[in-house]
Amino acid sequence: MTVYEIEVENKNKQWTWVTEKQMEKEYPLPTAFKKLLGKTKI
Amino acid sequence: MKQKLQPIVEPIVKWYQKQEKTLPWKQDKEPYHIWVSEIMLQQTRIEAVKKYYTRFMKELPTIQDLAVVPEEKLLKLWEGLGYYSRAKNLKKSAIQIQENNHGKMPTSYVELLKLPGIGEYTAGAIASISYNEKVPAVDGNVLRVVSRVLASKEDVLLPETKKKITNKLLEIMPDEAGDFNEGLMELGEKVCLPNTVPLCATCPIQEFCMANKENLTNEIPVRVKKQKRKIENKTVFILKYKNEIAIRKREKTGILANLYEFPNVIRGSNRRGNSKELRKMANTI
Repeated sequence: MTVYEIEVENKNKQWTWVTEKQMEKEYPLPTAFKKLLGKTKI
Repeated sequence: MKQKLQPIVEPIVKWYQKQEKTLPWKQDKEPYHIWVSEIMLQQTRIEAVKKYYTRFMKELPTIQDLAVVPEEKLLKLWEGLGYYSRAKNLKKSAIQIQENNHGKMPTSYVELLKLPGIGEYTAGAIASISYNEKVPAVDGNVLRVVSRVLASKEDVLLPETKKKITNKLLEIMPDEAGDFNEGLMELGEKVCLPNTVPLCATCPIQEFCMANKENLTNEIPVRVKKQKRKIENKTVFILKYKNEIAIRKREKTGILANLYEFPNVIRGSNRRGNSKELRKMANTI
């Protein structure tokens, strides 16, 4: 798996934008994706 | 074959009745509790299930609560357990129970089998543990214990083998059906161990075990290897805007349906295909 972490200048409406806290509380993510947060390099 | 298994019944029931019941789902025989725990325990270690089960019961203490829980909250409670269709089927079943059975769990094996996500094993476990119905509940532990007792070299991964063992157990089910089934399962978990040396010296049915007598415990059960799991290589994009991250909802069907994920593309062996996918993704970033 290759992971790109990218800071964007605009929020593309195609995606759902959430804070980490919201994601943690309300949005179920498969474990493989959860593990990626904070462990990536550009 | 009945005579070979009959002698194991009483020692297993007595052994199980003496075991400490510390697990949260073993504190009572409430069918809802047995049901949820059995579903969580499919493909999942006991240790991992404990905290999920406790939290689930705190949030959704009754079938009625489960029937009306929003899917996102349900999936959140299940997050990390994997095999999410299990959670969705629990809810579907709860709705069915509300609509067709006035919110009460069906009380027989045959009726339990009609619920989504409840197969022979789970129906057997609920019917025997909660209602003492004389039906077996054959999981991997039970297959291993029985195969070793009989020194059977039949492939335990084959449905025919499971059916044969189920039928043999059906002939010897005692009045304490729940304790017998739970005893068989717990014996498999604690004593008749897989992939290591089983603790035969502490086994209550050692004297009846053919694999022990013939020194075959490391060869039985026989498991013919399954096909390898499909591995997908992905390129994943963690898109950040200030303190927000981009996610998207997965498709309504298929693996991990309706969960969320970071935008990603599958990396195949076709390089041209890859770059096309990546360009498409880049346009949306």
